[in-house]
Amino acid sequence: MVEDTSTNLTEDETELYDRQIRLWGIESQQRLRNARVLVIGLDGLGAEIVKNLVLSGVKSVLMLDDKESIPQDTSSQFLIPVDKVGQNRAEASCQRAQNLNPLVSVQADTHNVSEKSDDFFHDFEVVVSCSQDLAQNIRLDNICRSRGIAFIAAGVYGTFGYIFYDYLEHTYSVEYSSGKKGAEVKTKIETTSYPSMESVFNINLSDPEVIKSFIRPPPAFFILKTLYKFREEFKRDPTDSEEDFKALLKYRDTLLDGVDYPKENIPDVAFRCVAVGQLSPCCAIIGAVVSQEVIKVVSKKDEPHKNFFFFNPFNLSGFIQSIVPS
Amino acid sequence: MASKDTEVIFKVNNNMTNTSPLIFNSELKQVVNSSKVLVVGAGGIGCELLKNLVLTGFEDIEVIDLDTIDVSNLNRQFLFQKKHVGKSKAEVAKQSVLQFNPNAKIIAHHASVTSPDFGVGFIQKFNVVMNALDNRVARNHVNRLCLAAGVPLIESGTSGYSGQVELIVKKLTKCYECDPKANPKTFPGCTIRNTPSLLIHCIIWAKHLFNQLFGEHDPREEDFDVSPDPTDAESGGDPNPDVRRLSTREWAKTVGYDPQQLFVKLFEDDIQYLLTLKGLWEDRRPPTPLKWNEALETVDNVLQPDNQNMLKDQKIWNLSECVKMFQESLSGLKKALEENNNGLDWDKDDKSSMDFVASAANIRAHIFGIPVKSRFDIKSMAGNIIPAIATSNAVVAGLVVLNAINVLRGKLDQCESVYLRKAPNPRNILIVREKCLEQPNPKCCVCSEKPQVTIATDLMKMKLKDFESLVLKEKLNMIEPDVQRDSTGCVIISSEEGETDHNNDKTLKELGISDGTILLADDFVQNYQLKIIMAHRELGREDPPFFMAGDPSELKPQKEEVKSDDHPEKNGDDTDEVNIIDDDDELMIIEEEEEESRKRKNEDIVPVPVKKRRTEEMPNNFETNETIHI
Repeated sequence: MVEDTSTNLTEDETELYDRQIRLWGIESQQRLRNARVLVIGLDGLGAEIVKNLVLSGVKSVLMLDDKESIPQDTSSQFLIPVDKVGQNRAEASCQRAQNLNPLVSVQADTHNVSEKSDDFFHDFEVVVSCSQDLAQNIRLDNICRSRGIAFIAAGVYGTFGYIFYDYLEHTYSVEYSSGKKGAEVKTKIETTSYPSMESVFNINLSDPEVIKSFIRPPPAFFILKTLYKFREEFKRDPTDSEEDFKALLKYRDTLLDGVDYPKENIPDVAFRCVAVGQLSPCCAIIGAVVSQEVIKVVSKKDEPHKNFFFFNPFNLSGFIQSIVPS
Repeated sequence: MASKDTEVIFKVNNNMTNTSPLIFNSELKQVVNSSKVLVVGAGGIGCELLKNLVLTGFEDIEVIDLDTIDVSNLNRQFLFQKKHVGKSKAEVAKQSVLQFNPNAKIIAHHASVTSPDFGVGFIQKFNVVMNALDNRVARNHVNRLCLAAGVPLIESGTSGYSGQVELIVKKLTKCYECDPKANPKTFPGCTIRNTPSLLIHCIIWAKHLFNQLFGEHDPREEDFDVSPDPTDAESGGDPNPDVRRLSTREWAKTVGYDPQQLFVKLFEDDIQYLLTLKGLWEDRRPPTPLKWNEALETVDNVLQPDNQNMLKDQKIWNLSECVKMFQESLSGLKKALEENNNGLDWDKDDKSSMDFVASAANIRAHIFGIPVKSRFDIKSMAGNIIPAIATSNAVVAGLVVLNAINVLRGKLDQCESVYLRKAPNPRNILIVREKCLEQPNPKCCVCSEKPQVTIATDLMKMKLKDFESLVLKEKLNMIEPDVQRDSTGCVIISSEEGETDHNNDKTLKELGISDGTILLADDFVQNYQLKIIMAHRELGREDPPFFMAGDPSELKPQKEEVKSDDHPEKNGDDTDEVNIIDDDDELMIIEEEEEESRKRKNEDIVPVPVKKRRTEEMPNNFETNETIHI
């Protein structure tokens, strides 16, 4: 994916990135500097991801969004100045995103992602899709898979958040030692593979063998599927209205129909938690986890997450889950 | 007012058995909107916190930070830009977040939180206090203020990829000082001056040398002495005890900071003298004095790191390059000193200052046969640099605000400590929340009902002024202590200026303190009273000037145990010694230790970042830890 041209960092760069170079090393910083990232969907989550990536010193960030910002955006989308509410979200975010780091190329594209041909994505090493519907995410994932581009889809709903990762085949280095004090630290190369989003969302939940693997972790995958279903039907995200709440409960029940999974694991109250718009601290948390994984995949260093990360609204913690078709 | 609110929260909390998830509905928005919060620190976590707060709807915020903006902050402290370098962090952060929410009322204080302006009364104005600090002194201080004020405190920190958040509420949770903190590593003065065996010893020596030559006059200057110490118990006696040696500083001035003369004194004559202290070299490799001309021409082969893309600073200098750098940096520093009569502060980001320490440390290492390192690595060690990245700060600041919302809605029991890990734990949890609040330590020397500690020291030798600066201020973190003897009520230290100065040079013994004497120390600003039980102990060569324990019995046993590095809390800090913070090794939390170790047994290979130790320490000195001076 990322070609390893070892152009040396300038004095300005080493000074600016000193504290992170001391953490992940020069090689990682050089790889970051060659990485072009596409961020689709400039909501509160998208803004957090753009902020972190621009700060980290990637080569370029292109923000793609055809939507106009609305007043609610100001409770999480800090890249849009208050007096630019009503303007295109990507364009309105440009100036503040650029101010974060003049060394990174920051640009906006105001088209709808569905108008973009497959070739458009070829110019990126990583594509991050925020708050898109399932069909769009599956399309993007398939395009990225066919071109060896790392794909990440993420969303924040109230205190709930998800991240889906597909790196197809990812090779990375990891440091290890015998675990004894003073033992020599060595590096080894590992490879891991990811299933497509389409195959993951087509997993047959009625299969009792499949459902067993879902019993222990929190029911985040079911909440995500319910939210995707709502989005598919309503072409928008849920609000805190009673109608939306009832619709969500209905989709949950339909989803569980014929599935051997205890309904009480997905209590009604979960759908109150998710239907309050984007909560800024949750955008910050999920956005930071996404960004750190982008940095990880670009720098090819350390073990990446399995294919899902969820933020659990019941106890405000975050866990990784592997959901793969058998 | 706020403290009453807290009591109400307590009652609500005690009746709560079921947890109820956080639903950010309009009622909760109202609660958030009407609360008053304090953010202490506007650095990496502070910037993220302030953004989250105003976006979430907090509109009544005060922020305190004494720091100014530096270029190396800009990779994560995103409220600042290059044009702000040198300006107040609190002030610029306020202006930046006001653009996110122009309705917010933000008061910025460009000041130290330990200033008496921010006493218990100030803290009581707030519904919740959030710490975003980078050093233990300030953390301890805010901890005490919040305990005294009865205001919930949310403490947080990050180091590299890791971070943590915890709630502190008096009587309900552990306070910041309930667990003994692993002390910064310290080294005895004689190791630094006479017998270095690690590069860090040479780096500390070089920093002391900088202070000697260029620093502001320090009342404790004698503690930063870099010349050989003939009083060392192992020296075997000074062969020329009558020779009066001129102090390094006076002498350097008389020779106009001439590099060659300085070199000859420091790296040839002083080393020759050290060799005459024969006792030191019985079991050690003796040092090799260097000659200026020879050193200048010694192009020794240095083993370079195996990295094609290395930075200029990562190349290791040979001896000749070290000497040239020593020479060059001295002329830079001499010039800087001429422009600044008060002396220079050592700053790792100042080129000449850093060049001087790196070259002097490496030359000394060469003399003692210690492996040298690059300027890049020495900068980390000399500057206590803790790597810091935007994403860890963002996760932690997000978790702080979620916990703050839970505090405000009265769900203190849902504010268990949370840890961000570099890699997920065996249960695949990356952001780990504890199962319950941690109970206070009943023997805590700060938050327990009747706090007390035992201090063991040589009562015949320790002077009162040292007791005040080393024990009360540095170790016990008091700001302006008053001390009286329990039995007599006699005031031996007063916070009123000048009142007890006549006692300063008396030993504790001379002030009537003997083994078993009880002292009552009181810090008015912190509203903190502490009973100190004094114990007499004779101290050895490698011992710190005193030992401290919460439980007197801990001090009784053998010296061996107390001296061991594994019990760092029992080692007192010492001005003659030096504080070094290890990198991020202090922090790592494994939620299920049992599972982890079981797993470990089956594997020869474990990933490096996994650390077994449960955290004993908040990530203090985290983030941009640039305040600790060694």
